[in-house]
Amino acid sequence: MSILNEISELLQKGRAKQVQQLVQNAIDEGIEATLILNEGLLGGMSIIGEKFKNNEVFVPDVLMAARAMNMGSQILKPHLAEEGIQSKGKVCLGTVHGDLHDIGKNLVKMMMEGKGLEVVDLGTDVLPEKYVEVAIKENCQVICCSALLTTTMEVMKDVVKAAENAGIRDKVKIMVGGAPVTEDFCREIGADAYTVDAASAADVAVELCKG
Amino acid sequence: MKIKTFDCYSVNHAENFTKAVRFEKPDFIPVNFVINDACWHHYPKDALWNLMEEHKYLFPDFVRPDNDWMPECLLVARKDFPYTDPMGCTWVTSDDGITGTVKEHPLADWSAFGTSWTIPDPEKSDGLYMVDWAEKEKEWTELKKSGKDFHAKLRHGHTFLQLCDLRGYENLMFDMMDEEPLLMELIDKLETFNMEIVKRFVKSGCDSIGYPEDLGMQVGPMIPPDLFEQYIKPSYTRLMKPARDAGIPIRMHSDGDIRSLADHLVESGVEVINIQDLVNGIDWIADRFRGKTCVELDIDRQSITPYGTPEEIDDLIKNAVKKIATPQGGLCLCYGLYPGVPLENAKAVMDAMERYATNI
Repeated sequence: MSILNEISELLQKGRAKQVQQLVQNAIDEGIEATLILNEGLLGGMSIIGEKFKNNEVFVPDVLMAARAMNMGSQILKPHLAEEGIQSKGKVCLGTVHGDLHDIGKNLVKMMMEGKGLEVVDLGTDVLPEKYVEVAIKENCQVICCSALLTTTMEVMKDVVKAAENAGIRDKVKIMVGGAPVTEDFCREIGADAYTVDAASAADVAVELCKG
Repeated sequence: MKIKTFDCYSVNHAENFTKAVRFEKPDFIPVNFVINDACWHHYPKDALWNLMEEHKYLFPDFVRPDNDWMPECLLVARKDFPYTDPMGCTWVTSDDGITGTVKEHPLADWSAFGTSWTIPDPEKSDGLYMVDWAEKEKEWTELKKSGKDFHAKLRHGHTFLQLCDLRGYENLMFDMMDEEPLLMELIDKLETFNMEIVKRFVKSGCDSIGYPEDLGMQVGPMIPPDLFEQYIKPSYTRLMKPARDAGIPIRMHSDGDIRSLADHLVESGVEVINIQDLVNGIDWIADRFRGKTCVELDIDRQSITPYGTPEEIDDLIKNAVKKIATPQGGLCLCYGLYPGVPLENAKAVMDAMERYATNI
């Protein structure tokens, strides 16, 4: 098995320390950082994402894999910078105002990072204006809103309005998700995309970032 | 005035409940309809009271209170008033009545373990609140004297969720994966704490003991089954043993998809499994539990009851009863009303629960 395959395999098993060591070994062997990232780390996360969509692995497995990817990425970062690698896009995400739940939101973040996106995490209880302010400041292509409660999902409508009021609606796509959110609701409030799970959210965000 | 709470069956006949649990031909399906405290400022109170009056079977003791009545929200469910529990976890909520989430995890850093953080005294606390147990025991005695049911329960989140609240969910998963030695020590301490409370319940002669947690996500478990088996199941088994030995029905609640943990739960000693219907699937629930383990079916509050029609709600409950109940028993029904459900749908749930609970 090649070292890149091995990184991918161990990442899927959540073996963070071993992934970190193998990434270092790969660098020492002179393998390009881009290749290690794409075929080793992102390759592994991509498989985990697919398995997650198919209900073959679950949230804890994704968490473990994401930690392994983060630890591997830390070793790679300076080398990627040297190679001038850029992210596939930039997203800001948060749980909407009035909602303090963050497990789902964090999972989406991990999946998106696992797809090579740069993610600005706004945390929980995020005001509509905050999403817009950060999207403008950070030049994000996508805003992602999460909600767990039927009482807070309505705030997503205000995020869409805030983007319209700020005049950025044609420049920024808005994604919505969370247990009570539906495709119909997404359409109703004028958001751009709804996905049923975190892995699909990452796939859609990558597409939206392509413009 | 007290509004019914989750552990208080509206149809409160202990004997009938036990018959349902033990498959001994109950006279009716035990039902429980809980109105979350947040509802009282999201709906017109009169409208809810009217519904309660119209459904005597679900709310037999209901007496309409004064117009200015409002529930006293639990300490973990008060907006703008973060609450730090005896375990050191700080709860924050954005809506009065909706149980908050823990925003400060006292053991996020293990260095606090055994230094600034110690387990509370089970003589003075139930883990979530400070408790005067002598006073509690008097209340239980009075309750029993009055002929009402007494369903005891540990705090919601006694073991797994408590670990999440203490360490943070992600940290906990990593601890388990990394086989962090301090984690086992923490689990032991929690178990010792919880065991003291379980023993009190057993001594009280209660009609059931609840061990509520949340172990499931929308899809899949919060904890992989192998890690559950390694870290949580042994503790559950020991905590349930005193109830089992005393012949007290053991109830276990969990939100979310717990299909992959179900066998472990039953093996731990669970006799009544409180499980969400649509998240796990009625057919799966029927296939796995019908005629074997009593199901306390937690009726959907995510799709059909908030967004469906009254007819669809009736079908949902009728179908569940048809597929899970047996003439010998094995089914209880419960529903939690939260803001966001149209009142006509809330009425439809009440109507259907009353209709099908008595028609077995």
